[in-house]
Amino acid sequence: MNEAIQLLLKFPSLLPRNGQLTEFDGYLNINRTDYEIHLSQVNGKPFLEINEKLSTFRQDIDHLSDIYTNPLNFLDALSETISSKTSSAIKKNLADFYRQVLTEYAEFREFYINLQSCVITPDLSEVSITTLDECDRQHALTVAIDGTFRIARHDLPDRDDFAKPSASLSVLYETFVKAIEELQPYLYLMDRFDSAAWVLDPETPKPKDCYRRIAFDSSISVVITVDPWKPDGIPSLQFLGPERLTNSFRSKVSSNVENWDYKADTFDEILRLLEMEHFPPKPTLDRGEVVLFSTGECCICFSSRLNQKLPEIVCTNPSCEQVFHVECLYQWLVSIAAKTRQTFNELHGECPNCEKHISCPLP
Amino acid sequence: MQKQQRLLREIAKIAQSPPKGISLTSKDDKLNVFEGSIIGPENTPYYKGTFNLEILIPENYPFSPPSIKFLTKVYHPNIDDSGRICLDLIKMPPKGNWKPTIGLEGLLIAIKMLLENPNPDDPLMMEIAEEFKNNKSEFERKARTCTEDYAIQ
Repeated sequence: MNEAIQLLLKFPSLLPRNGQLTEFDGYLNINRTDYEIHLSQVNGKPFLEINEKLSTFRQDIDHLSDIYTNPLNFLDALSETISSKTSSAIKKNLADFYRQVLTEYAEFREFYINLQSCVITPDLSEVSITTLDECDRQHALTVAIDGTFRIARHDLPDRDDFAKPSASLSVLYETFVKAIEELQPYLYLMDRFDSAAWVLDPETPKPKDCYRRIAFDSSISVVITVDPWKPDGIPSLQFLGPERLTNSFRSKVSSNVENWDYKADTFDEILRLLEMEHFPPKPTLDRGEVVLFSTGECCICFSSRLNQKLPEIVCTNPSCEQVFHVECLYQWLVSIAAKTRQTFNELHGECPNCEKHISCPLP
Repeated sequence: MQKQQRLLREIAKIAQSPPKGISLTSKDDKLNVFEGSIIGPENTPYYKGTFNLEILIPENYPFSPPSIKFLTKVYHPNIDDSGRICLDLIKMPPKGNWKPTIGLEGLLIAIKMLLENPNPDDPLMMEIAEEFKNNKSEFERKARTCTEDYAIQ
């Protein structure tokens, strides 16, 4: 009897099923998980019905019920086993962990006073840091907090050691700062491209973008790809444009490449490869935005006047409303005859833009 | 008749804001032949390659699609040994999906996307398509080798 009361005190979510206190129903709460149990006695041994949640511990239950005849000892041993097997999921009390995060964060802010900004999200899941490098370029780093600290996002080219989680925010930040320092020659080189050449792509270069597509004129361009961690090496050059022009550049590069000087300035060396004094500047001529076709222009011939005529047909679909010259639309509908029907003096078919019904008078 | 005017407009647009990793230049004054190049997209076995294409513009463009083929050898389920491309956008309806609103830039972007996402369910090269479906790593290795052999300058 005494033992049964001890059992009920120790496992308050169990209820006795009978007056002899040999059967119990209820729950075991281990590591925040509830396990539903039905405990009874069979042949003087504790017997536990195995349900879905307990099925992973089937062997332990069989084994323990052989050792412990006393239900209290049995449940004690079982809770301990389950607890040790599920503990990896929850290492420690979350409150302790968050307290540690906040301490770490406070110490971090106090130590690195020259950060540009440093913000922790209210749910303590992320820290966002921005810092300036020696040339006043801004770099952003976001650290995710999930048990440990881990770099979630950053604006630098990727590196293996960025993926490693750390128990300390400062260690991660130091890794990041060290990378920025190492990247200075690379960032300087990329800045020179951006300021001294006509860069087509990327439109707004980020430190991550280790390539530049540089135009020489409107027909030929080169994609220069630099290894961010070895910017003094020979970059990869891919020429784009008409063959007769790209071939001459390619042969210049292949004849000059053997004299590449690793000690000299990479930017100047690239110019020497290309046999250029400097990169052609971006044309300042303001031509306004060229679009394929603007409102009021036929979306087949991309112009407004065709044989002195303006587009007359408007697609009736209100979300399309493209305009067409009668001539253009007629010619298109005729050329896909299989999808077009003719009534007395009109053609019916699909609008080439929205594919909804459109009709066109015979010209 | 619409051809000249429209192609000039298309060229001006591409010259001013070229699409990422794509170039297009005319090879003759009559605008009948164009040269295109596509840079092998990242995270594909074609990465770092430069793939050249020949684009022939028919007399009744844009009512018929241009014919486009790869000049550079490509190991791809939808591109055959002679560079022909299996893409619905460059075929006339009802078989294909060409529309006069598409344009050369759109087609080159579509071809670049085809390099990124091969379509093994509508193959031109049966064996490569089977390999792409059943033995992706072998496909990637061969495509990579082919890129290194033919497309890297």
